[in-house]
Amino acid sequence: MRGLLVAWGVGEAIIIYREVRQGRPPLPSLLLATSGAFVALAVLAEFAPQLAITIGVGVDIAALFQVWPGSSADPGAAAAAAGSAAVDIAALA
Amino acid sequence: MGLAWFGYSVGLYGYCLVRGYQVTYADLSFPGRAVSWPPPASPDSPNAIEPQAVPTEQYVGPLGAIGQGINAIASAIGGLISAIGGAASDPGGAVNGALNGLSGALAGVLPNVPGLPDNPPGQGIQKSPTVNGAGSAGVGGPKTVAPPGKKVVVLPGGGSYKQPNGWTINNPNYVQGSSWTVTKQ
Repeated sequence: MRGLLVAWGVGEAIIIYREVRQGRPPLPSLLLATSGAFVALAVLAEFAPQLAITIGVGVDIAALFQVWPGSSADPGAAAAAAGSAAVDIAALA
Repeated sequence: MGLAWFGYSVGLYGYCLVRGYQVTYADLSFPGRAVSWPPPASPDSPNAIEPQAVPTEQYVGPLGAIGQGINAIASAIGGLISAIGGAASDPGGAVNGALNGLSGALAGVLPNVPGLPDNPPGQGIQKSPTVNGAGSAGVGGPKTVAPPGKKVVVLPGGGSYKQPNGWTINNPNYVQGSSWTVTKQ
């Protein structure tokens, strides 16, 4: 249970960081949805604790990949790439 | 954690209300609802009142008019009391101020009476005609007629001066300090 709690905290922090980096406050609905998912994993942990923890850590890693600088799913990198592409096009013109 | 989440959701909803966003608490708090950020602004209400650069007409009812009259009377009484207090503390200044005010008021009411023109260069202040009986007016130029008992004292320089009463004195042979009597031609 402790491991799942830590995974939940890390996941929430990653989501909050991603939203703030995109320039908007984290919506309570998004936080509630993520918490609801971890509540479901907590229910699963009653039957298969290792599986629940594994799934929780996997969710955190997936969220971390989204905000990792340079990744294709990184919102900041996508915006920077779009901006640089626009600059290149302008330079060619 | 539930309380923290609830407090955060309510705070965010209040922020959206203050900013004028058209969004409900359910849209912010419950999953499954598509919400863009920032949310769309609320449309202007037909009853909205916006500040105007030009003040609109104000309706003054009967009570308002009575109040304005009372306010004016009270202001006048207060000004009078302050003036009396000032006069009591500084009588000379109060009298001077009153006379200045009176002269200003009369200047605005009475017709403009032409005064003495400026003296030519080298001239001093020309005195008003007084009684002498000696001397005679200078040669040349128009002569003026002085009533009996009138004396004119002319300062150095000569020239002609037009008196306020329409007299003209022309004295090319002027001697400083001399007195002249305007005689009848």
